[in-house]
Amino acid sequence: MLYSPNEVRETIRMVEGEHLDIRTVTMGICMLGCPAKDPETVAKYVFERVVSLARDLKSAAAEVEQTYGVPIVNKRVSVTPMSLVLEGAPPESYIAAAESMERAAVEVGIDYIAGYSALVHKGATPGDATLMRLLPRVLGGTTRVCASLNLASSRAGINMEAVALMGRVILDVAEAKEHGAGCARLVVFANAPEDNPFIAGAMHGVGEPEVVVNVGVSGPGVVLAALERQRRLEPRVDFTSIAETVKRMAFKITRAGELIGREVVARLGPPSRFGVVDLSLAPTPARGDSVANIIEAMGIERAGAHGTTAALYLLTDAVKKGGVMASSSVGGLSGAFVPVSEDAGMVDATRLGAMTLDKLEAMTSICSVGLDMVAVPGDTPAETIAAIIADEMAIGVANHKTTAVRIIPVPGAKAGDTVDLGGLLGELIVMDVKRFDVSSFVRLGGRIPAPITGLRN
Amino acid sequence: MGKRIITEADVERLAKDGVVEVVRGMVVTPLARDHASRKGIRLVYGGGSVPSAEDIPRDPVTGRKGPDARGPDARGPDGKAAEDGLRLTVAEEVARAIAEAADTHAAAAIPSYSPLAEAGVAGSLAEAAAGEPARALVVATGVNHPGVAAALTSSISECGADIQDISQTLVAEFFSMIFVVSLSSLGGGLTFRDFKERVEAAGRGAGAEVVVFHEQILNAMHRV
Repeated sequence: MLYSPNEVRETIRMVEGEHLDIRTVTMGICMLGCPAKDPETVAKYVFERVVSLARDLKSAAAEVEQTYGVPIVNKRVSVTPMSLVLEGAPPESYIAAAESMERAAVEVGIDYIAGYSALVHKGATPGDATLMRLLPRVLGGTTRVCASLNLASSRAGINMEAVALMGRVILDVAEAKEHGAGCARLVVFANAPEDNPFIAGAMHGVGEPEVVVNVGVSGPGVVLAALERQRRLEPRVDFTSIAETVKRMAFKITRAGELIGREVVARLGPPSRFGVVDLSLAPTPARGDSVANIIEAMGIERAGAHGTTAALYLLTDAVKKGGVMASSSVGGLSGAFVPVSEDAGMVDATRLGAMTLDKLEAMTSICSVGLDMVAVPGDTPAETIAAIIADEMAIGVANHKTTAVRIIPVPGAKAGDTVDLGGLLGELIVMDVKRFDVSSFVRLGGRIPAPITGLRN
Repeated sequence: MGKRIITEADVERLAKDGVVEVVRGMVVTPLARDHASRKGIRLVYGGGSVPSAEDIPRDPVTGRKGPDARGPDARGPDGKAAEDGLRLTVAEEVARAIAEAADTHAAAAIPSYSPLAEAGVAGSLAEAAAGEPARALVVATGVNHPGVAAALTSSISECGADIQDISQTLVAEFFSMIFVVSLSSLGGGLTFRDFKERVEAAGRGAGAEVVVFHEQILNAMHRV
């Protein structure tokens, strides 16, 4: 027999029964060739470029889905950070670019397009400042455009002026849409990767080729099922054997992800090239497809209880080790995701009071995006939001890792309220923030210097 | 097919006066070669032999076999030519490895500034990548009764696909069958999806649970 019945059975089980899916196939498109900066030219260029290159993305992905039986949950597009394309352009061009991105997304049939972004970790140019100030208008006026800002890096430190500004901007973005939904499309980063395929923080970095296809694998469901099976079948389970199981599953998931990515690229044809597989375990609101549930399967009653950080470390580390053995093209964020509202287990844990803002901050030292889809009361002061961001940035800068904040101040909501954003965004439970005043700290201005470990040359 | 694997134990068993003659159809494992050199056993390659499991293919230009770099006779009197041959075969191996990793279109996407873009490498990569025909696995399970296998095999052959391997297990009244099917001869413009739908429907019609999936997904996950 060419294949052992065990291999065959496991493949069927993973694909048919355990939510093995590809979370996202994201096409990154370079926009630096925009010939002029007036609003009409920008709008035309952005629209035509996205539509001409990504027109077949959906059909190519659908064909691969059917051939291999592995669903591709999201097909998306990221572009060069718009601040780089538009520096020196009038504000109308920034609006035109965003509207054009929105129209192009509708035209090619994708739900999100990312790259309304700026890199301001050391300081902002006039163009960067324009882009940031226009965020409430841009995110309020669109439904598919995603924005991200890199506010800090391990080489430059933390741009506290930009952090303070973003505290204010996030509140304004929240006001622009019902339930603060616009904030679900706005991420602030430390050490933002250039090849991240995951919305809302995706961007097409300047070191990338013209058109790349990056793949974000998923698979919390597969890992969870494997751990539960291990508990059932093996008489004695310890941490080492759990790590081994996770590693094996991560290997298989990553191999499947790379196959799917390369097949999509093959169908798209030149100039698309395969980029990276992002190894992040990305949950969905579907039951059983939850990172929190994996932590709980290790014996922690509820995610967020003491021990959660250790469990998350074991999980994330094993995923990386398995994934990096499986593919030489690993990139993006590559760490576990714990988006609170998008993970049914995290929602339950928050409702029961197990998961809090402080615990999430601690978990940031392990996972790729720290405070992800976290709702706070709408009356939280801008300075407090800025300080929450600063804490996350500090963890990223000091540890040479990516950290990020996607926080949603829900207008009119109080701690404990529930807000449903629907679809993949899921259900938000508003978390409490500390009410002590931090405004004079945030207003100090300037930049928090880079850590000594940033000086490696 | 029909290759004979020579392991450490075989080396000792086959040794006559400290010499093992390796002939065509034998594949000596790397461990066995190490073992032989430790024991002072010499491997003598007979007519048309295959030097080792990491065989270097025949030189396309001179028709000479690529020398085994680690063997004692790596450089004969014509050492220069042998070295050139080795270089050529290594270049070929590299091109093949790249072709395997990429695919037809990706190869065509090699940027113009890349050295690979010159001298028709992209074309040869594309040619090499086109070789492997697609295969599918058809897995059927259910309660055994007459006609299940017939329904499946006739549905597969109606699609023009070629059954390459079958494995069947019966436990009491339950059966499980796994077919490996080549899709290179799918008839009438059928796609993989059409094939999957038809065969799965045929299986269900005969009272079996049938899953059809592409071989590559299994290879990706289970084969390194």
